[in-house]
Amino acid sequence: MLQATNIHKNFGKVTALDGVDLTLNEGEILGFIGPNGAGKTTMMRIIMGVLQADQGETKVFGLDSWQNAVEIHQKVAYVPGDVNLWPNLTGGEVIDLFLRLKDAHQKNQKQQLIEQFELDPTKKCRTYSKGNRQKVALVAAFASDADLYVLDEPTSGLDPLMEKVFQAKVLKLAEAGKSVLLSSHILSEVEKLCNKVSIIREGKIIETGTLSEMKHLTRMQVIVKTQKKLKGLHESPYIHDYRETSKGTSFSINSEYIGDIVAYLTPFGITDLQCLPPTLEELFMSHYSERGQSE
Amino acid sequence: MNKYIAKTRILFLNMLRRDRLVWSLWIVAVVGFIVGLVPVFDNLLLAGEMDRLAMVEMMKNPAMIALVGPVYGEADYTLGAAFANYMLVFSLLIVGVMNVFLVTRHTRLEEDTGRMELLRALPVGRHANLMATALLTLSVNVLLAVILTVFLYLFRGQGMSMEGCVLFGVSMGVIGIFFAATTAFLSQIASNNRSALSMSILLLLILYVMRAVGDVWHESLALISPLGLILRTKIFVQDSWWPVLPIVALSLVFAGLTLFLSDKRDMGSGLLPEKAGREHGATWLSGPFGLAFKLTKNTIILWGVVIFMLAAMYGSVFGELDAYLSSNATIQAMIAMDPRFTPVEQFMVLLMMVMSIISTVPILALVNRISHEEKNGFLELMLCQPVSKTSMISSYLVLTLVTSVCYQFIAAFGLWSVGSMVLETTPTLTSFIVSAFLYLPAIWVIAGMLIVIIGFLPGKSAIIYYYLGYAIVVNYIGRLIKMPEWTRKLTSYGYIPQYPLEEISLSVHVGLLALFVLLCAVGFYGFRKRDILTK
Ligand SMILES: Nc1ncnc2c1ncn2[C@@H]1O[C@H](COP(=O)(O)OP(=O)(O)OP(=O)(O)O)[C@@H](O)[C@H]1O
Ligand SMILES: [Mg+2]
Repeated sequence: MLQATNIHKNFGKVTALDGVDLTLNEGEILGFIGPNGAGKTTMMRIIMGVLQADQGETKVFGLDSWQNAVEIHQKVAYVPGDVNLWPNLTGGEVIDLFLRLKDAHQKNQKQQLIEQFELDPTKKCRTYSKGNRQKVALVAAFASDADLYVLDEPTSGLDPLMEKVFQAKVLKLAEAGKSVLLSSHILSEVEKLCNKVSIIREGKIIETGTLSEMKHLTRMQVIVKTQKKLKGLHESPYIHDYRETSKGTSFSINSEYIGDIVAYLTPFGITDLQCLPPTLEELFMSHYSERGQSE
Repeated sequence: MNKYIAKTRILFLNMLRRDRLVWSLWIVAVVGFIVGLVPVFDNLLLAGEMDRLAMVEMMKNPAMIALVGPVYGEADYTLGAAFANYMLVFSLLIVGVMNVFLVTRHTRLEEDTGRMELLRALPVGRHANLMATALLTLSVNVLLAVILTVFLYLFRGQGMSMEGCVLFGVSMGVIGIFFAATTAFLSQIASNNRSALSMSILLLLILYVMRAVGDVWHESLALISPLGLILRTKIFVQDSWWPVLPIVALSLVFAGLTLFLSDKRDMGSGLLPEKAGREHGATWLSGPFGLAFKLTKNTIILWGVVIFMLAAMYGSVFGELDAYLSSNATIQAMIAMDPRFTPVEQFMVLLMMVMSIISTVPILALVNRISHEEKNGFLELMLCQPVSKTSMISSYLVLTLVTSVCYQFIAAFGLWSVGSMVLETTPTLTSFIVSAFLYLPAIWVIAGMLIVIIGFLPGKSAIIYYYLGYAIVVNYIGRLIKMPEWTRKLTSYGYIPQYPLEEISLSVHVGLLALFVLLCAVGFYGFRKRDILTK
């Protein structure tokens, strides 16, 4: 579907992308996350052939994303991060224009989407709220019969009800074997929708994999109460963030050592043991901040 | 009071600083343009290159009166009198345009971009931005008036008194303030920046046409238009101050109305309500060309009307022109009339050139629309559909070509239709059309230059307007003041034969067309290769 290798992009002196690799297969939903200014939007623009990479190759459906943009776009739907629409066209006109450009005019599907998203297509785009502009772009994208959907923060202006509608649509796409590249800052959404995640930071992909793989690689938080006083734990190199709290002794440890630690704790007489898997939130916090400092 | 104008001072100082390049360049350009031409006029008259009487006669010709206003002080046509006669209306138009841009930039544009919302959320008075804009335009116009006065006086020529120089400066300042006030007023009514801008420019043109028609037939009409009224100051002839006062008063009225309306309306919307639009796109709105047409349709029509009005106005003076010229054998001798052609035919050449240069303005705006689309992110939307860059830019190009043909036809038709109503011996429609169409390659070459700029210097397309400004100066004023031929040959207009006085030269037109095609090819290449601007 989508295969980007070693993409570099500079804007003057600013390095936006510094060797990005991205792969997306059929039926996958890839979450693309990273802090502000990491290069998500830039990467998506390169995938859409709007910007030209300085180095590297992006293939969509096996075709070059810059050279063959027109061909590719027949089967790609894009929702930009900052939806700016022609102020004096109505939402209905914009949707129709986009669908006609794709030769994908499916009246029923469009009508249904407009109703589901509760959009008034007769209003001039100038008078739409941010969320409503976003809906125009979403309706146009979902109503076109694409194979790849590139969505840049598609829910950033939607209300929770509309977010639900959106999520249902995306899951349906995946069922139908379509591929979705979804950038978002709403981690719960990524957790719900995506089967794979790529984390980008300062123009580099620092982590790619399925969510369960990633969670496995990170630390778990353990809170334990024992009958005998714990000894020697904080000296162990596997133990981090060691603290005595009112709830008990708290520390974090890489998930692979969890068996060892339970074995070590048992002789002290465990009265209470909690192992908290990392939330996606924590996962990213560690990636967004810690790694940045160490690099 | 505080709730209205709190923090005006900070906003004003901020605007002054933010815009320092904009307003200082305007002032330098306007003062430079006006004062720079004093020595040129001086040369022309004193060195006897042009007979003073001949000049008076030329200026008294109705076509010239329609263009620049009535002649004052013909008995003693000093350098000052000639200079004010020829330059004042032009200078006023320029200062008017300057104020339209300054004001919309700080009122409607700020609202449309949402910056105003940020501002209003601060502890800033409701009218503070408007007040700061008023202060800004007031200061810029006063500064312009003072600098212009000083430099005019420093470079003064024969018959240019101190009082006249002051009055020239004051007239410019006052008209500037007047257009600032009307623009602020129209900005309250319009529903967005674009329409505020075009309504304001339209008002400027209407007042200009009113003056022209009034100066040729009914003076009362010219007196109603501030652009006509201010000419009655008779600068460097009588130096009357009375026209200044009513214009100041009128400006105050508009300023008051602006405040009143600004209190009444909501931020971001005009008084003209936004109607619900179509639920489905029209069937022709289905590709890049349909979109380009849809987006520019209203502007194209509006300019078509403006061009027709101007052409009709010039056409309407044919009767006077003919009577004037044929009654006066001495003039005929003086301006070296060619007996093989009628007087109207000889003036047709000048009028066609003026009309062609005027219609180049909307044509360039049309080509430039693609940059506007690019800057606002709309081009990106289209390019993410199965649409190529080439098809986007060529849509605008084709639209431009078709429109320019229409505009030249409208200009020819306007001159001919009204002309033939007032004068039986008006040349045929065909010869008007031929004469107008001969200018098409010249217009297209400039459009081609703009395409090259768009292809290689994204976001810098304003450069072309400087070039157009140069073309106007050398072709229009340059012809009168006998600037050397090569200055005109730097512009495409300079190559167009003065049909029907001169023969049509096929090679010139083929050459210009070839140049146009080359420019387009180069521009397209650059556009295809480069990244588009993204936010
Ligand atoms: N047209 C441009 N000119 C100059 N710099 C740019 C341009 N576009 C992006 N950048 C820079 O490239 C970097 C990546 O920007 P990008 O918009 O891709 O980030 P992002 O990951 O989408 O951020 P966000 O989460 O805020 O949307 C930033 O440092 C940004 O300032
Ligand atoms: Mg982004």
